[in-house]
Amino acid sequence: MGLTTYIIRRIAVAIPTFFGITLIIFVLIQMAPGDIIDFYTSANPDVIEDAEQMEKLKERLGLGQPIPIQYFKWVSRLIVFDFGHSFETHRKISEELKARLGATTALFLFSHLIGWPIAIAIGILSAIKPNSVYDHFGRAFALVGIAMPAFWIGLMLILVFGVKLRWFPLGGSVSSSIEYTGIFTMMWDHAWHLVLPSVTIALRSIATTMRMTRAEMLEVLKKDYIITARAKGVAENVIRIKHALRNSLMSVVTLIGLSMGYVFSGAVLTETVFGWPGIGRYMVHAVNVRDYPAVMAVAVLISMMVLLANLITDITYCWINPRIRYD
Amino acid sequence: MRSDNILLDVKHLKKYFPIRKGLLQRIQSHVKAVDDINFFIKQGETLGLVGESGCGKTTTGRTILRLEDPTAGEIIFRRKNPSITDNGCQEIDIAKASQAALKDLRRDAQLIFQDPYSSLNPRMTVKDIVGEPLLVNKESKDADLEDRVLKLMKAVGLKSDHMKRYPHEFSGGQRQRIGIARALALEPQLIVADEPVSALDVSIQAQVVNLLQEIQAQFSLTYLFIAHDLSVVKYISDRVAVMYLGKIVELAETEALFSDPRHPYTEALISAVPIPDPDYKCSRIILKGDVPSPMKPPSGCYFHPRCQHAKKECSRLSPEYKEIEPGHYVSCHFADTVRLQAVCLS
Amino acid sequence: MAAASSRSIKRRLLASKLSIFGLLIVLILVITGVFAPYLAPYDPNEMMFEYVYHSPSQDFLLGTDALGRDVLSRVVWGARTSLFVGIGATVVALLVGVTFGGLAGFYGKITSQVFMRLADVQLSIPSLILLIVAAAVLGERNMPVIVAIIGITMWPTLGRVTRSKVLDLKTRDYVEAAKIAGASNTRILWRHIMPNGLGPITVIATLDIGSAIIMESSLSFLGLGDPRMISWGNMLSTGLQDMIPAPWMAVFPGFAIFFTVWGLNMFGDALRDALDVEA
Repeated sequence: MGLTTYIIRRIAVAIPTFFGITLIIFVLIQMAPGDIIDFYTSANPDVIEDAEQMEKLKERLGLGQPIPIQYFKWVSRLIVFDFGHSFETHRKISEELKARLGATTALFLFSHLIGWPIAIAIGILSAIKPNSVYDHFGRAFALVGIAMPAFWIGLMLILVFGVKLRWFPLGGSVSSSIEYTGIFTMMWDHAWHLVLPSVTIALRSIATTMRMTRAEMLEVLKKDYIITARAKGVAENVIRIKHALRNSLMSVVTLIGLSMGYVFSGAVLTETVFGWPGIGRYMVHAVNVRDYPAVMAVAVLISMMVLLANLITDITYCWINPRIRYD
Repeated sequence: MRSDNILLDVKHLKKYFPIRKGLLQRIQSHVKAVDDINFFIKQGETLGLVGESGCGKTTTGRTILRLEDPTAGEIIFRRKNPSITDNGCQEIDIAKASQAALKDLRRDAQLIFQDPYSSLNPRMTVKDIVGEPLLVNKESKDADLEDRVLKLMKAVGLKSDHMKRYPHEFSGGQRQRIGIARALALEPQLIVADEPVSALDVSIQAQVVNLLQEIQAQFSLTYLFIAHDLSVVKYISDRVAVMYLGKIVELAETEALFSDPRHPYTEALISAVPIPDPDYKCSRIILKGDVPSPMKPPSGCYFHPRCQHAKKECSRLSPEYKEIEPGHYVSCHFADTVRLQAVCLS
Repeated sequence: MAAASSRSIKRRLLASKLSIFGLLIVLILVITGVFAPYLAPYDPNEMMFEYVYHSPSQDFLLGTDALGRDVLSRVVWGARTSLFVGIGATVVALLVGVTFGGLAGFYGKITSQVFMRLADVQLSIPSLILLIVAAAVLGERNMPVIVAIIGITMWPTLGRVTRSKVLDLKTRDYVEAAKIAGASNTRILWRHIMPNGLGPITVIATLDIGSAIIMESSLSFLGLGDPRMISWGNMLSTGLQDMIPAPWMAVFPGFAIFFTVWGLNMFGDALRDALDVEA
């Protein structure tokens, strides 16, 4: 099977998955007790005055149609990123998301910028020196990191570095009291607020990435071509970096792609702890005010990103490693 | 040389496995694991089935027991049935039997496995393993079950205190005895023995082969004995069938096959059997090349690319499987003309 | 394949210090949860207004909260909630996962395709996101329903493992032997396949108990749990708001979650090694 065939088949599998995901989310929301219109009117008591207006509203929200039609209309709009209007603010949800996506992306990038180098470094050290200090530290850290809920890590960081030491702000993304004197101070202030939430997400991803790097590295170091290189007299550091690291990093990068789901779950919790104005916090807020179109939009958006990450990961992995095509 | 006391009659049996390819997983071709084979087994005899690995001998055995559904052909089984007065026999086509009929039929046709390690459930005691056929067929239970399991264990040379033990506490030979006891439990007429000794040490092989012969006499069993080791087959079989790439190329009485092989493949196989006699001189025939892929078998006679006697027409025409002497079947264009090297049976 | 007897599994489990430690933590959780009414020094809901935000002291070992409730007593009662959530959700996940996975593995193609597609789809939605959506539509958020939902979000992993194990085991010779012996499908599934596939299922179920506890506390922390239950997640949620006057409120319930999940993970890992399974 060629790469093209693989890609086509992989995409062919992803399409029904997309419909499956949207269907699950849609059906779940349909199961909400009471009429969706009631939630709309209770959130906006001033809009409705008589039955005629009610009908018009239903028409506008597309609630008058049979449920399967509602689903198909919803999905066909999703494809062009039209998520409908928020019950709460009446703005386009796509606009609401656009305003928050930047904050989440910044958090995501910053945390991985901190996390990956540390994780990969400790992973490599513990693989080339098993049972060394690094290895024990790495193992203990992984156990701790995996067992600690992201939100508690965040709480503790705020407690120590925010409340006690006052090194970092307690939350939010900008300081309200500061008057910016220039672009530099603004960036500095943003970066300042980013540190603790990023570390929270990073700590968790370090725990898993480090163990993956270690396992991959150990696996590669056992391979025949490493032994051959060693027998030829290639210097140990060259072996480690040129042969072992390069080969194990490929698998690590693809494995990271598969852990996107955890990253987003972590983001929802972390953003809530730090009051970070991203899409995760928006979702929790939308649930609390029963803004169903917004809840559906964020759930779909996050699931789509996970699906896309998996798709890219699989294709990359297949491209790097042609053997799996025959499995 | 067909006689009336035929227990199993296999006619035009085929088993093809589909090969799927491409985006839509369409069936593109087939592996012809068993390709139109014919043979019969008489009551009380042992038919040896030999060939290289991948030639379809195991698939043949499994298809006969309907562990695989045949693609085509008939598998006529003449089972003893006391409730039918006419000869006390009932003919059933296993190939077309329903699930219910199969369950009933399996009391009369059992299997001994090749691997004594994977064929015993590691979480069941010997008593549970050997007693399972009796229990699930509601033949016996409780104290009577224990009694019958004990008898079976005794018959295969196991001790009574082995009953409560688990398979991992036994050696390979002992495990194979447990497997044999299980196959015997329902007192079947036919046992398919799928390479029953090839996973065992040579010293243990002889013991197990002897045991198989003893119980054959004691329980009047009929064997289909599948093996790749000709010396074992020579020792235990009344008649031998040789398979190559899904087809039977030669079938004859054991002595006739070894002393007067008519197919070049049989010749090559038996020339490879070690003869424990320093004075015995014979040239070993080394086959050229590998066994061709069963996905793309050669044209004409499947054996022609490796055959030292091959002529032009062998690559074009597929030879007919015919009886050239009473009871001696061969599938070769030149079975009558080519002189082949044989071995004497000591 | 090493056929491990139950005795050698026990020996291997006790050989590792980490697993004993893990087992100990799990035991503490179970005992605390079961005997919470006897172990808690105060009524966890009793509001002692004269002791609001009382820092940890001899009277209140872990301090008190905004309503003057004893944090230690609430942590102890929280163990009971966590125990219920962990076990309850895992039982639900096992029921759904093992049934679906077993059926999918045993009865070939179409069943298999349907169940596994469903699992794929569900795994594409991060569990917490799915939980949040489910919590959004719940009219009244009560614990049993939350536990059931957590269980349902966890089934795909168990379903997949069960399926692949069944697929692997059903081609084993001893399964064919049972088939030839005339055993029914039910007997083959329960007597021959399941007992031999239990290893990885047990390991994953053990680890799932920890995941369920984390999921419940995450949900409660987001304010989407059962507000009437004393749960570690609920305590942390209020702890976040009262961080400046009463930092202990955010510390101790978190430690309880951490130790519980850590213990369960260590025990699960040791179990994986002892059973010699890849899961």
